[in-house]
Amino acid sequence: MNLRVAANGRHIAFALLVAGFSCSPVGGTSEADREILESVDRAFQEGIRSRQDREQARPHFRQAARNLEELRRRGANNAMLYRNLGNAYLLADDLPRALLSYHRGLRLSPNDAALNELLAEARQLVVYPPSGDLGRPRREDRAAWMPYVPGEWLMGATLACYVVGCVAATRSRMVRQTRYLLGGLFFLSASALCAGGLLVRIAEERERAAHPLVVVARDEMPVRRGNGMAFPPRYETPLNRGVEGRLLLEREGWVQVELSGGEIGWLPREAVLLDES
Amino acid sequence: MSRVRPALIPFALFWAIGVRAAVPTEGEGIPTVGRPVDLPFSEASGWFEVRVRAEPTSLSVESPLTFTMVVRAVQPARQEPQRLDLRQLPEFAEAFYIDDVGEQAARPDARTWEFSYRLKPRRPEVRAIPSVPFVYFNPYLLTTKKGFQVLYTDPIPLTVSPRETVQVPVRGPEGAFVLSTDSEVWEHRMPWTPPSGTALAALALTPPLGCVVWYLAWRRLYPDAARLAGQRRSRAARRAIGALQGGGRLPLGPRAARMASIVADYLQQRLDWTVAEPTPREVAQLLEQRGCSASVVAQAVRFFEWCDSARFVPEEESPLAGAERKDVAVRLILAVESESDGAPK
Repeated sequence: MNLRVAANGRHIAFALLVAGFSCSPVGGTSEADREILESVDRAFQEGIRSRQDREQARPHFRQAARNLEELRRRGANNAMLYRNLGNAYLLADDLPRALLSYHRGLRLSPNDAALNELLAEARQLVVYPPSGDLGRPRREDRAAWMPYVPGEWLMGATLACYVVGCVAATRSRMVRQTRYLLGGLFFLSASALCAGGLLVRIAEERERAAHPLVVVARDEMPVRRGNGMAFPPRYETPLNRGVEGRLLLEREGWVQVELSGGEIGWLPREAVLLDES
Repeated sequence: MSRVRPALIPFALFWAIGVRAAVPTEGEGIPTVGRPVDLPFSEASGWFEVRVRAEPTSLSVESPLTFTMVVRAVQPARQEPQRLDLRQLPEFAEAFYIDDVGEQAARPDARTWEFSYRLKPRRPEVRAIPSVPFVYFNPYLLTTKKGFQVLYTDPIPLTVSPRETVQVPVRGPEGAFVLSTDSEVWEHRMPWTPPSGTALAALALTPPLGCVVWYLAWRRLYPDAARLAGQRRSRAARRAIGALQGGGRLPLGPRAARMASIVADYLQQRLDWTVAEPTPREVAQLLEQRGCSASVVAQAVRFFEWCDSARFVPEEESPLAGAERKDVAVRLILAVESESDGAPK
């Protein structure tokens, strides 16, 4: 009988764990979607066939990117789509949109090795100022070998450890056995550890939502001191396309941007791409 | 000499003043009246002829050619021609990128001015350099109304070929030349969003509340099991029994003293007793006060008496007897445990 009650407790824990995961694929595929993907494939392959002449190849890659954008408008939203989109934009010489697409894909799948590699290689194509670090992406604090633990994983692990710890502690109260008590303490400690990581991830997500990614879309853009052409440039060196930053403020057709090194300035709204997803 | 009618005198004066104003004499400026407004004016005054030449006339798109306009004065020039801005001529601006070679005109002789331009055809469809309208003022003409003259140069045929392009391959990492067309491309995945504070609080409170409910239900459904659980060995008993397992190699006297000390410690912790080294009589009194049965009291008295005798009256005894006494001590502890329900643990 005691076993049956314990089994019920485990079911409750499992249900809570499942509720913690909010990421699930939805939606179906229509014939129109398939046709669009086929046209993407045709245009992309045509571009690859003529890759020795960029003047010929780029229109094909641009067409592939347009079709992929159409697929996105129709509801597709996943890391693979954004990887394709980034590739098409990159080969069509639209570096800012390629960077934005890779970032969007990595938000959905942070540990996608191919996406991370492509983003790093695309960043190498950005023309940064020869002197100084203005606009250069900051080096990741996390070690390369350490995987990024997504928020939903941390949340699931926190909940699972928490539930198991509570169940074990309750069971130790029932049967007065040390092993249950030790097990409960172990899982509650693990839960606290995961909760710490989860809080960090929540803070990151809120920061990202409040200050979305900005990618400079034009070359030779001076970072101005205010939201108008009358304001002088804040830095001597202008920014080139592909430089990334975070949006702080948007006002009267201008955006205030914070670059990775903490530099803050204003750029025209039409000169940047904003990740509004 | 004919008489002038007095009524016509004002008109005659007006005509004379007007003509005087419109026709410049040497050293005077060029009138503005009659100047063509839709063509660039060369600022030249005199009598001129104009020729043009171009080199080369066969070229590719966006390649430069030198276009030279030669202005020659037929009569002495009263005012020199200035350089024309060909960008003001729509036919030129649409067909060519125009660079000025030099602001100053070349002067092969005193009567000739040569203006050079660098033109680059914008498209292969450009077939000729269009004619240039050269506007100047001719003070030598008697009719001042026709003083401004426009000379149109001849168009120069051109052969423009498409640009010779150098094939440049598409640059990019090899990984970018890959397109994935798996079914995953259609999937709609939402990025993870942090739960609200209310949801987090609910998730934090639900497991402990559920466990409390579970525990209460368990106690209600299985009262015997709950009571039995309360009668489980206390921590003091476990510690004492664990301690009794050691000390096997000691001589009999110290071993007995150690066992007596362990059991006495247990009784102190389990029954809130304060006596450090109790006598068998004190132990008996304590257990009777705590409601233990007579057999347990007798068992305890026997144990402590044996310990005293082993400590103070050492005699030869086999190790087996010592092991048996250890079992007696364990049994005594378990007996006290079973009969002291509700005591502090």
